Amino acid sequence: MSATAAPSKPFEPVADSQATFRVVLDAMARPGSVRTLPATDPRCPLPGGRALAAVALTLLDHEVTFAIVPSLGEGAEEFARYLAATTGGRLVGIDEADYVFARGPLAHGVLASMKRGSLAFPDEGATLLLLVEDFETGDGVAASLTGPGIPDDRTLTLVGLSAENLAERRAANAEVPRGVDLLLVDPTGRMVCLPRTTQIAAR
Amino acid sequence: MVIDQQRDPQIPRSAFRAPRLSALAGAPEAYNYAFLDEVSKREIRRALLKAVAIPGYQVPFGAREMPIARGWGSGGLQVTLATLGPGDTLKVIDQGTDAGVNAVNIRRLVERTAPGVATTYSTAEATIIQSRHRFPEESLRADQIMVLQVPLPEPLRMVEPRESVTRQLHAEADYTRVWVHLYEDVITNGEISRASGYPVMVNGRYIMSPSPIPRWDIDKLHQSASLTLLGAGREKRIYAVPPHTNVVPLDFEDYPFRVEDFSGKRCARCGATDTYLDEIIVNGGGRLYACSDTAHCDERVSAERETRNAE
Ligand SMILES: [Zn+2]
Repeated sequence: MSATAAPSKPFEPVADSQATFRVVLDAMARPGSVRTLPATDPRCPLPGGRALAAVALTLLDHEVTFAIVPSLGEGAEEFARYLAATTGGRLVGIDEADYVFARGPLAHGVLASMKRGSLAFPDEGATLLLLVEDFETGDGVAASLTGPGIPDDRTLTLVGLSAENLAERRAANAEVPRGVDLLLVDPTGRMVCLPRTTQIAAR
Repeated sequence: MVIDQQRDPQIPRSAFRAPRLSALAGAPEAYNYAFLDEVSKREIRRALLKAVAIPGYQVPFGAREMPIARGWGSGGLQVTLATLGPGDTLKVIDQGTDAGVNAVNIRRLVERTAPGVATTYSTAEATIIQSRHRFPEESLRADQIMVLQVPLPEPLRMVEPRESVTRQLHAEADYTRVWVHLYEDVITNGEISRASGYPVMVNGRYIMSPSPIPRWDIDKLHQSASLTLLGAGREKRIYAVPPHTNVVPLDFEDYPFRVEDFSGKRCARCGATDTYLDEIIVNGGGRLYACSDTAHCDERVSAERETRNAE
């Protein structure tokens, strides 16, 4: 089931979407728990982004919009073209996008410019899909999480988010229930979800 | 809850005739995996993730026509079909029993269109449990997902008929009118009289309708180990309660929430005194009680039989 076990197997739209969704659903329901994505898309032109691409192919289609944050780096433009061609999603600016793809840690202002939904329709808040360094070897912030989906509290080393990013995230989620939901994916296919309800305290 | 003879514990399972599949799913050779097309599944999956991220909030989605009537679980069914896949084991409960016609229909549709998904009556074996009126008696685990089919998802409908207004009330967490309504209920009836679909507060933010489950089951949503997903087909809403989330029934300090009282009663089949009981009118007008959760009851009966045989 590991993302690296079969790197050349093409993404299968029906079976891999279902399997990927289930892992994302479980991760979203249990914020901060590290899960391993079951599929990759070897066609993805973004270095280290094959597992992230599996999540994109699972969720994006012609009914939604996406944005690419320039800091995604080498392969970013190809990745945008690939996502548009493969999913039918429409490329828009960060402030309009349902799904925002970026590399962590984020540049100042990215989180603040994302859609947060309205009080009446908070589900229109954006989802940030963040490609981060390897969860096991990357630099991170020791964090303690509380909120729905977390029994008592959960501790982990959060890779891909700076202390400033955490402060910006807090500000973006301050007007409950408006906010942004984060998926952190590393090159090996490990993933952590941080929905807007998760309170993060640096330890 | 008064049940007809169909639930008489003397009638064996084989008495329930399955419906014709052709009435359900059209030509068996032409179907999508798990019936729904991929565009529909993606939309439901996106809605589910937002629902989990905003506990108790009703996410709008474009409900599809299903081979079962709306109001009979089409919302829950769409959630189930967008969620399950090879390796899953599905249990479907209708009124507490797996043998109800609606449960049989849903299970058949899945068996026919979703290869690799097993079906079961056993709560312990299930990875996904779809239900409307009941939670299973036994506590669910972290690796299980509960799907509730909801006929009336809007808990504020009792005080406000207009969708645009209820949405605004939720937006502002303005629940004053609900509290006034409940207060008036207490004045009139001596307690909050709502028998099923008892309104609950989720994560301290949204008032939510938990589907027509009895009060008995409300506590199963609170700080549960498992994820609960709710779908309403007619009103096109998806919502969720993540595990380890506060779900508190609305009540007053001096009129606290109470579950159904079965003291002095027991199941006529398995003898249980700690389960939710259905009242059964038997021939001649007498009354019996039996576990509403028939799978749990069956397991108790066969466990007892094994013990007896072993002696
Ligand atoms: Zn019983």
